[in-house]
Amino acid sequence: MSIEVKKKKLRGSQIGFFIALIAYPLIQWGVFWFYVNVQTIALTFQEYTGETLRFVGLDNFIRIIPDVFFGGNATMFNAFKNSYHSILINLIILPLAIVSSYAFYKKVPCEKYFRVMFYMPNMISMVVLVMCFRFLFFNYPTTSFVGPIASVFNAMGFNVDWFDVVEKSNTIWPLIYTYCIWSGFGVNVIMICGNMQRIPQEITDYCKIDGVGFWRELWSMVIPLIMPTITVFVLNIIMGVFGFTYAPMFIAQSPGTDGQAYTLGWYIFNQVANGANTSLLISATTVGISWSIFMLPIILFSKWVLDKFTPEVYF
Amino acid sequence: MKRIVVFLLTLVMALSTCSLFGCGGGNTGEGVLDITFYKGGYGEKWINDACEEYKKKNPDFKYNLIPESAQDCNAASALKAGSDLSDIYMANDNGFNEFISSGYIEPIKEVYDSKVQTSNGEKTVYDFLIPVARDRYWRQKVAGQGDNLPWAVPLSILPGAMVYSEEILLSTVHQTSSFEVDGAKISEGKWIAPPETIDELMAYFYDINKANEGKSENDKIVPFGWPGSSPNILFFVLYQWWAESQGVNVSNYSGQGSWYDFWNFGNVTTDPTQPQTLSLSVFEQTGQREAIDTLRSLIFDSQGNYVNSLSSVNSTNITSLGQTFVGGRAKIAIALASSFLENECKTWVNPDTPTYKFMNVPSLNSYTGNQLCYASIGEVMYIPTKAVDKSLAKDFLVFLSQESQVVDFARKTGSIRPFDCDPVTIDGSFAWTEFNRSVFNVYKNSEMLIAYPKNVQNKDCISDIYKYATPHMFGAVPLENLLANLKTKTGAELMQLVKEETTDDFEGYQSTYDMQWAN
Repeated sequence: MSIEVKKKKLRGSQIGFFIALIAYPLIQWGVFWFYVNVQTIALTFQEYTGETLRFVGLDNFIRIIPDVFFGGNATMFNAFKNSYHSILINLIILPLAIVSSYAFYKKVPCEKYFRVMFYMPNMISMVVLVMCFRFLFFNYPTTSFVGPIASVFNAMGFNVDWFDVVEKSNTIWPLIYTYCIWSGFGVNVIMICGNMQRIPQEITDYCKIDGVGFWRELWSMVIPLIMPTITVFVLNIIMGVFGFTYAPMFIAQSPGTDGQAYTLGWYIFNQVANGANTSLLISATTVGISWSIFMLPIILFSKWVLDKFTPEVYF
Repeated sequence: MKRIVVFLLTLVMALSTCSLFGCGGGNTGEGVLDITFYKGGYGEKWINDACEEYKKKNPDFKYNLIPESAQDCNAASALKAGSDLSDIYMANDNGFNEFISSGYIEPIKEVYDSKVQTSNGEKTVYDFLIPVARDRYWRQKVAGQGDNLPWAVPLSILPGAMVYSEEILLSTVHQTSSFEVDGAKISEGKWIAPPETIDELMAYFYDINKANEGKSENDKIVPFGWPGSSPNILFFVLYQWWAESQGVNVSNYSGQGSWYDFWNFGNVTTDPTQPQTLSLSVFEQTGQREAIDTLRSLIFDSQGNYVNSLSSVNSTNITSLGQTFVGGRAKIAIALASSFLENECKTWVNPDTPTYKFMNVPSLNSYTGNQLCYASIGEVMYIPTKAVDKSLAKDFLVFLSQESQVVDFARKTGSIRPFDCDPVTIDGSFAWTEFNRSVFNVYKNSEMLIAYPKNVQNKDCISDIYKYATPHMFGAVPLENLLANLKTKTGAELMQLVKEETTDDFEGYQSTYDMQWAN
């Protein structure tokens, strides 16, 4: 039996309603996305002479790309490399979040308490959270400022200035990792948990009836069913390098010698924070556009790989 | 149902358009003076009181104060948007030159030409300003075209030097050492006045270190507090020593420019219609090397280890240094600080707070010229071209330049406006703190060093590099690398590195600003 779809002609009032509905978001997109991005890209082909903007073709890219991507400038190159720490941080968070979410899904004892505790860091202002986190590791006995965790390490013979980024630091990135994992955990748990709640009850009942073990159920049933969500997470992890700014900035507070704690997001923030200086804005946009071009094939390839090797799931 | 949906949609759209209004100022309308100011600087009381005082003389005067949390008051966004602008912005001078050339701000020659009352009779605002601040914000709107005009009035001048703990000074026993000390500074075997030369400073540090022998870590006195995490603060000492060695206005070394000549980055053009010049030789000044070597001798030993410094100096920033010094968390004999210290650290005062005073950075042993003090003028007051009440704004700026208002600013903020007056002498009955008195003493008795090309006669010939890039002493070498470089390199080696690293930037400036190499 064929189904005929009758195309109804829209009445005038319906067209008007449609336009009214779509006009505002369209205008917003035009102003805050299209115009901004067009102007950003246009800036990368110009330089500021002090009085006016002048077209210079690819000169900005020729100047910046060797410095950032090929080690021409140690600080910028380190900023570029350090940005990819965010991928590793999130790849550490993801399996931990999956296991924790699964534990909540299986209603382990004190599940509600753990949910609140895991999400607590996201409910507190990041500035306050970082201050508290930094205090734990303060190790300044001359000024009577020794945090509790630093005290423990001092007692074990590991007496260091945790935030020293003038010397080559072996502590600043472990601190940033610890903070990011601790503070980023809760959001991931909540989102994966929400996805697990959608799993049909019949599958859970089947697992109970057939005596499927705790870890077997996770590996063979739950993870495949939430694979589309995991795929999206992994893509976001890769794209997350662009936004890896505040954690290193607030924890290290200084880029450090040769930018050992610097990231490209932080660099762009510094340039734009001085928003009145057009030359700095042009540097920031050029770095941003270059980096986007660099990452585009990586992101597309990642998406292709994920789509190819993760099955579609319908339930 | 559809009407409800349309109504709700309209409401949502109307509410969301509120978020489209730009921030960074605001205009209440004609007849009301809108002033946007940085609230984290000097607070609100002084400007509020100034407005009330102005109102006494002008009963119809209305004002609206708009505090901003950003030092630049987000002025760039507001000026570029061109609407809903305040009449006066009191902010830092970020992007100031762009504001001028883009026509965003109003020239204010009438303000500089206006007469104000001072203790020494009536003067123009221009003459009342200290010499180094008078021409700071004068230039042509477009280089080579039109009149040379002023575009802002400086709000404050911040001397950057040192503070010392009076208790530690008066209790430190002077030991015999290889460093020469003026006998007048020692009485009954103890210090009675702060050091004034490098030798005296080294002798003082030696005495403190001697006194520290046998003490526990917590009881030791730190001879010299400086913030490794805020290396720009080291300019307080570096710039003064560099100027002393090099010559402030006239160079002491043949073939090299003076300290003020550095800031024109090799532009020798005297005709603003001709292309400017640039030269990397500005990074070859002997004074730069001597300043660096002097600093190294104070804070490093021969192996490159820190001496005379806080144990956590690498992660001490200027705020935590102030907190440590004023809060008494560590005993520090002398610390780098600006005149702003007391106001900034007033919340940390407690029973352990030492009695502290501002002092000049000790001079190089061989220096015999005027007492110098590095200072920054980074905060200004300007009027947007599209401000609604420009006449009122100009009149108010003249009012703020009256001596009575300059003194009132000092009373309420403890800071200095760059005018030729001594608030402590003018209002001797006010309860100035010891720190205030010491700051004004340094201000009154020192020649202020401001990092700008003061020697350039024709202000239109100020280098575009200064106007739009303003590299510091270390050029393209990031300040974050400064300490690592100071540890391992002599002054000559470091400045050679600076010259090499800055070459690319200068080649860029040469192309961007159509300059020619001077040599």
